[in-house]
Amino acid sequence: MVRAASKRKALAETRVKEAPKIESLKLSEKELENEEDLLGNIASSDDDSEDSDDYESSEEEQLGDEEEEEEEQSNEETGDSANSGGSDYESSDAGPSRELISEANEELPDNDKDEYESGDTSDEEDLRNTVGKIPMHWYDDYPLLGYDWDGKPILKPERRDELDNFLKRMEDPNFWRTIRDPSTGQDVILNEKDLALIKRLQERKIPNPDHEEYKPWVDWFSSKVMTTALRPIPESKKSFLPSRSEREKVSKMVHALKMGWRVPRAELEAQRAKEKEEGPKFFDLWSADGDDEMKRRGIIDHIPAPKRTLPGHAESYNPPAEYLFNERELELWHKQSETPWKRKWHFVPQKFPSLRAVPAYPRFVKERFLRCLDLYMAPRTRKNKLTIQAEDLLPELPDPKDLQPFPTAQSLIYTGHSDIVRTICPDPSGQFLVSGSDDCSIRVWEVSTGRCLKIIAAGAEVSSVAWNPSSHLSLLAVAAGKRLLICSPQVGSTEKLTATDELLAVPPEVDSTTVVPERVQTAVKWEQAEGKDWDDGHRVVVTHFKDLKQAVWHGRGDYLAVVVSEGLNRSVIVHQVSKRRSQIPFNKARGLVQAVQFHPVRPMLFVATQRSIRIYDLVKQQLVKKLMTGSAWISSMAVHPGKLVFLGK
Amino acid sequence: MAESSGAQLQIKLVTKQSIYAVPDIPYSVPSEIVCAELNTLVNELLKDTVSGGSVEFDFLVSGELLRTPLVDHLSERQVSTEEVVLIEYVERFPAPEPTDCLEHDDWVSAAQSCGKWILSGSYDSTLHLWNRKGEHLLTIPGHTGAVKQVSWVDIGGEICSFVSASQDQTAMIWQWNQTSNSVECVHVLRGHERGLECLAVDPTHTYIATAGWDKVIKLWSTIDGLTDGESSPKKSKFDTKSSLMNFEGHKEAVSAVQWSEDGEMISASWDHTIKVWDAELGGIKKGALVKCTFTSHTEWVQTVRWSSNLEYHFISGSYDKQVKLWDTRSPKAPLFDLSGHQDKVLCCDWSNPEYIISGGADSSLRVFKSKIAFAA
Repeated sequence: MVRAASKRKALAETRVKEAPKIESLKLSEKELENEEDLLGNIASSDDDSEDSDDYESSEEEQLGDEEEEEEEQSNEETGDSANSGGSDYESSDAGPSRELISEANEELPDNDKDEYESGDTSDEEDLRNTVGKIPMHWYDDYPLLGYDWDGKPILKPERRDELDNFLKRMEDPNFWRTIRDPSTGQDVILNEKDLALIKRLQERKIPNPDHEEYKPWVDWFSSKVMTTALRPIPESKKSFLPSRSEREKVSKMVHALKMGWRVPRAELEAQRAKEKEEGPKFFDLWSADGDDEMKRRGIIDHIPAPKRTLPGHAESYNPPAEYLFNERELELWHKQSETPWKRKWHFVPQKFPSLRAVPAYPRFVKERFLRCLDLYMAPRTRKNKLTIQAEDLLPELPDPKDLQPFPTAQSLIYTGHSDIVRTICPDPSGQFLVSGSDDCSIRVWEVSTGRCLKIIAAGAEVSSVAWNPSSHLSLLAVAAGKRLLICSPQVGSTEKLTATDELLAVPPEVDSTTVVPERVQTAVKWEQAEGKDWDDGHRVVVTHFKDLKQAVWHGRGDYLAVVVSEGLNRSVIVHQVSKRRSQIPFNKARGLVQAVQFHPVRPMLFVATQRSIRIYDLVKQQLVKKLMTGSAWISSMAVHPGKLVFLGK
Repeated sequence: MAESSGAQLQIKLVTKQSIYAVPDIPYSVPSEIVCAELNTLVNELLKDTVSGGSVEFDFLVSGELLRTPLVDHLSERQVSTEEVVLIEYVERFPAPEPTDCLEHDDWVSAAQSCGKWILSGSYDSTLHLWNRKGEHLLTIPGHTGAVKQVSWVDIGGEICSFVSASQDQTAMIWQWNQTSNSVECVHVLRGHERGLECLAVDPTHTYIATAGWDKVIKLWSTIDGLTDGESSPKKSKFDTKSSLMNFEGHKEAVSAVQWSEDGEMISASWDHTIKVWDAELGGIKKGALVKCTFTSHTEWVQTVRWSSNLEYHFISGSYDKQVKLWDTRSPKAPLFDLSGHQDKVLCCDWSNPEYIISGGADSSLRVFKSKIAFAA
């Protein structure tokens, strides 16, 4: 820019010197000036045009005239501007502008390209100025223009006077397009291309004539979704997968929306609009507390604080004489200091000549404080008494009539036993009933008719009978005296009976490796029934060290628990019939065991002592729960398949 | 005839028995009139037409037998007393007479009469054959458990057949040669896994249904049994049959089974249900609805049987030692109490219209002769 300005200055000087002007040139000059303005505007965005150095230097050799230099300069500038201004074009446009310059310089013999391609050696004879890029007017006072490659001074060409110019104009048809290269002082004749370029610049067209200004626009980046990607690379798999972080963000937002922490913008705007419409809300600070307010504070049925009585005459600074205490009254007032509530007034009425003379009330702060304390401490809410009748708390009892599937009338009497019947147990199917009696026998009855089907002698008073719950076995456990008899009922399914007999006919071989603990050995003796006993129905006899109280089967029908009365720490014994084996599960006696029971489904053992029931888990071998019944004496127990335990006292 | 102590009622007497028809005119009677008075009224009216003694009548008002004073009977059923009351009268069912007592060795748990013969089953696992005169014809051992029910299958001709169900899990089909008075077991119906409780022979005498404690009803055929029976050698083990069809559906023991009509079977169970089965298709057809309850027995009712020829009559035996004869039109009280048993009544039968028989835990089979009063 600076350079351009200096050039312009130099040009102006020359103009002043050369008074007579040729019209055509003048015209061109004028246009050039315009051009310069334009260039200045453009060039203001970029001052240096260094990148086009090589062109310049090559051009400078040929351009002699200052004017021509001017032209060239402007040309060069244009190229630059086109180049630099291309920053807002696309980079694709930079190409053409470069091209343009090279094209523009094509004809010039000093062009690098031309040098090598055409084999033109003219540049060797060329006067190449080596002074560099300096304002040429620095050499104005010297006879030389600079120095050539060999270091020889380039002399300024001789100045032609007006006449010479005129004559030349007359003679030389190319005069109008001859300019002087200021750096070499040589005359340069502009060729057609240069002229065309100048003309285009003057018309403010894009310098490249091949540039198609109105070529059809290809809308590459339209809003339309293309079927095929613009890029040849296939879409990555990632781009199809929903982003996890995005999803998290969205879910957070949705959650916030759901919880009401965040309000959608539309809703928020609607709210604001509504608020605006309704106008500002004010809180009535001075309104009395209504019921709603009290309720909000959690005070139900509020009792307002008592109002202070208004001051009477006695409180006056100038009370009537009758209110003033006489001596007796004052004495009384002082005497009642122990019992202040008996005083007539809680103060001594005083008389002052004027309001100004009234002193500060000494108890003011204390009384205020007490009043505030009273207001604060007293809840002033009515307490609600519970008005529930005791009868309402009792559950509604069902009508005893509705509680009947249980029998209400005697249906059958099973007659036959000659002594007390101690125990009964029904067959799992309900067809038979077994009963044990003090007449040392058990009887098997047909439930539906009361027919006694079998009598099995037990040998001692029978304390407990139990029918095996297994669906494959037909067995009875009979606790008679010290003996536990495992009997065949000899009724019911014949297949089951024979299967059971086969199972029990041969005692399992005693595994010599298993050591029976002495505790067990002394308590229990297993025997196989034979001969007459077998025919009677006895199958296996287990003799215990004390009398038996109870025998119960486990739900599977293999295990059998017995309670030994006065057995102390051996009062519960568990037998396994299939292996003829016994175990004593408890080492310590925890009270007198009254009854044991297996859970019908779960692996649990219920042991009832006189006052409590202990529930043991048979798998984990540990105490699960202890139930305290509160009853004086548990004598029997039944376990429901659910969770209930029934007790008999 | 009646001294008018209160309101009078207009009645009209009708009957389906044409010999006892009375003039079709309304009579005015006191509202408190009872059965006996109506009876005398009818007898008075029939004095001229019917010769020879008075006839006992029962009176049906709105489908039920009159047992209380007429006005109470009407108000109980909410019948208007303003209009003429239609009273139908039928000849009273004559009281059965105890005729015989057949002593057994053990409880009599099954009995059926047929023509001239009575078949009974006992808890000592034997079957007994008796004739009408009370003579013991045969004792048939064979079962190993108490006999629970017996039924005649075929009585045409010389060779009769019958079937018995026992607690030993089998039912047996027997053939009895009348002339030689010999019995042989032709088939043993094995398949039940528990003791049998009941059996029923269908009206065409081709199928037997048995059921018991294994909750399954099994259907057996009698036909090939009858044809093959003679060819089967005596010495070999009894010809064992397998069941045609099994009906499973009851959740507890089946206590009774009966055929209603061709291909329909009704069973009662300890699971508190009565099921109607289609024997051909083998499915449950429908449930049953209680229409009427008859209350008079004081204990467990063990057995009931319809009359084979009368429309409304049936008998029931109970553990209260009574056999009762009922009319469905009189649900509140039985027509007659047939007492005589010393212990629980276990079975009863009225297949022969002339004889009501019942067996009980007193080891006796009692026979009551029921006179046929009128044609059904």
